[in-house]
Order: sequence, then structure tokens, then C-alpha cells
Amino acid sequence: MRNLFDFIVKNSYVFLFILLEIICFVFIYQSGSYRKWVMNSASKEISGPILEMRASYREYINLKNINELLISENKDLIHTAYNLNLSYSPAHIFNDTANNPVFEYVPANVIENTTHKQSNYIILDKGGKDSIAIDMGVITARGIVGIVKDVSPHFCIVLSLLHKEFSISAKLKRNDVAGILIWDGINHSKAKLKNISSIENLKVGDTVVTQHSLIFPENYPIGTVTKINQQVKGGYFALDILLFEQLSKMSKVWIIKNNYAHELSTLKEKVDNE
Amino acid sequence: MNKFLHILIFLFLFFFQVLVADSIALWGIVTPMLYIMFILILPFQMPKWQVILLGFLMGFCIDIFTGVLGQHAAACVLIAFLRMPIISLIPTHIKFEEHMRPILWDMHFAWFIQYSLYLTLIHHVFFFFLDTMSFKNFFLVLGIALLNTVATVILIFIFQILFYKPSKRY
Repeated sequence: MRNLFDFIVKNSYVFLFILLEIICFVFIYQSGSYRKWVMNSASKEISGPILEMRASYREYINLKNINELLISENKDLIHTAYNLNLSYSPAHIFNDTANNPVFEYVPANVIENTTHKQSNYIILDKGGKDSIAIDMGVITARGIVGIVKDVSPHFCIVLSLLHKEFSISAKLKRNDVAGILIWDGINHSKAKLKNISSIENLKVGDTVVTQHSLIFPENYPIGTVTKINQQVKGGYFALDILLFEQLSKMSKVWIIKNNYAHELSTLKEKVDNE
Repeated sequence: MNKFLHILIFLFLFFFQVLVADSIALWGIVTPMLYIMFILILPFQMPKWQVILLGFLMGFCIDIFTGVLGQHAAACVLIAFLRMPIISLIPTHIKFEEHMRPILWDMHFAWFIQYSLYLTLIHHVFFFFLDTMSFKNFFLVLGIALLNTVATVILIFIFQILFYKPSKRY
């Protein structure tokens, strides 16, 4: 008995090591299921202010690039504004007459962003107080970025496009061939469009855009096709895509609020219940 | 005095990691994790349970600021646990004396580069596989871990050369 006791005291550090590793794995396991992020968002309320300070310094250093980006964004906006006067599309009328646009855009700053891992998350400085909610899309002027996964009063955590579990439906702009956009975890400037049923009429250089959904506006740019994989996997083809937005370098993003999301989802629920 | 110094090193490395090192993203994949130097340079005489506990504390503080809770902490606890076995594994002619600490100037260059390389490699490989949670892209993840190891070890050497000098005999 005494020997056993001595043994435990002598090797107490081994037990401490095992105990702490178990605690760590419990934390990691809990963060895997997205609805259990309470602890994680609480920790973001602690770290948020310091990360914000860092982001503001970085923004100051990047002012020149941000200005250039804004100028090019403005140029595009003016261009589209002139075009709108010339051609009246049905979507445009719908947006205007409702006097309540389908999508509203909330500007936000990136305060934490990783690209070197397989599960990458982005933290933004907008949260529940700015009426940000789970499952809102996040974009920049050049392309899509991710989907809001958790919200605390002042911050939100975004599931980055560069996450092994990210997937949305996308299509080719030229001929509406649809597929599923995923990230294969290899290159942080590339993604994959899988579940393509046929590769006839597909070309390298085609633009990939979003499909109509509650999260992203239709025809929002994502990237260009760089390679068409010939081999069939389960009856489907896959395309390699070069992303327009360099996710490692962005600092300003837009969060998309869909004003009709609630209405549509309640309607769907009603039909499902019948 | 000594405890105070350790707290100061802890805070310095913590803030350096959060405010500076995490902003580095060479080619989007290389982010040195200098904070593990805190575990490397704890004195030889420090009780093992204390090293493990301090490693956990450091990792957990970094976790609050980056990514998922528990990732850095798990990797830090592992190297804090493996520190002594690794030290006894490295062949050396140095006579360990009372006043020596595991820093570059007290030990030989060859000793310190092995010491820091082994522990950093274990930490990074464990960390990146913990992050992936699968062996699907085995060699890719291993490659990223190796690149990050090189960056971290280089940064540890720069800090050792800049901020440390040989310890005095008491």
C-alpha cells in the first residue's frame, strides 16, 4: 500500500499531464460542434479589445492598399450605376419597388484571420448589437469570404471559405452549370467545384459565381476555373478554381443581411409541417 | 526575483505572439510560434508538475486569442512533459552545473539547436495534426509543420542572441 502511495506521489506529474491533455481534448471536441461555442465566444469578449487594437495598427500600415481598393470599388460602382439606367432588369425593379432591398450590407473589420490551418476561422468586429445573426454571408468587393457561425454582443466568428467543412452551391456564369464549392485544404488561394455532371462546353478561364440562396446574392463572383479534372469520381467531375479574393490579405469585409430570410424560412416550415 | 523574471518573460512572449508573430503569414502558411520558448528556457531544477502547469497556462492564454480553445494548450502540455526525456536523450560533453539554464549561451550551440529543434518539431507536428484531425493530407500537413518549425527555431535563435547572456555563478 505504501509502495503504491509512493509511486503515485513520485509520478504525480504524469497524472497531471494526462489530466491536462484530457481537459484540452474536451475543449477541442466541444468547439467541433458549432452550437456549443458559448465558451469560445466568451473568450472572444476578453481577447476582442486587444485584437481590435492590433487590427487598427495593421489597418494604418495598409492604408495605401485600402485606398487603392476603394478607388477600384468606386470605379466599378459608378460603372454599374450608369449601366442600370440603360437596362432595366426585373431584379432591379423588384429591389426598388419593395423599397426594402433583399440584401443589406454591413461593413466590418477583420480582427483575427488565419489561413495556415485546415480549420480556419475569421473574427469580425460586428456582433449581436449590430443585429448580426448566425448563417449570414460575408463578402468583400472581390469575392465571397465565409459564413457567420457564432455571434457574441460585439464580435462574430466566421467559418472561412478556407475551412474543411465549408460548402456552398455555386455555378458557372456562362452556362449555369451548377456544382458544390469546397476547399480541399491544400492551397489557400484555390478551391474546388465538385459534383459537376458533365464537362462538355466547359473552358479554362470561366467565371464561377454564387447560386441563388438565402445567404449570398445571386451571381456574386468567386473565382475562375484553372483546371478541369478529367477523371470521374462517383459519376461527377470536379474543377479547380482560383479565388478572386486573397483571404490572407483582406482587412475590410461586408456582412450580408437577408431581409426576407425570416419570412422565407417560416414559410418553408409551414409547408413542412402540413 | 527569479519568479518575477519568469512572469516578465511570460508576458513579453505572450504579447509578442499575439500582437506581432500572429500577424506574420509568409505565403499564407508560415506563422512562427515563438511563445514556446517560454517552456524551453524554464530552469532545469524546476519541478516537472510546475513546468507542465506553466505550459498549460501559456497555451491556454494563446488559445483565447487564436482559434479553438485547447489546441495550443494540448501541444504545450505535451512538450512540457517531454522536455526532460529529450534533455536526457541529447548527447553532450557539458558538465551540468547548478547555475546553468537551458539557454543558448550556457549550453553549446549544437546542444541548443537539437534541443529547440526536437521540441519545436514535436509541438508543431502535434499542433497541426490536432488542427486537421485527420491523416488525409498527411504529407501536406507535415510539410507545413516543418516550414513552421524552421521559422520558429530561427526566431528562437534570434531572441536568444539578442536578449540573453551567460548566467553567472552564484
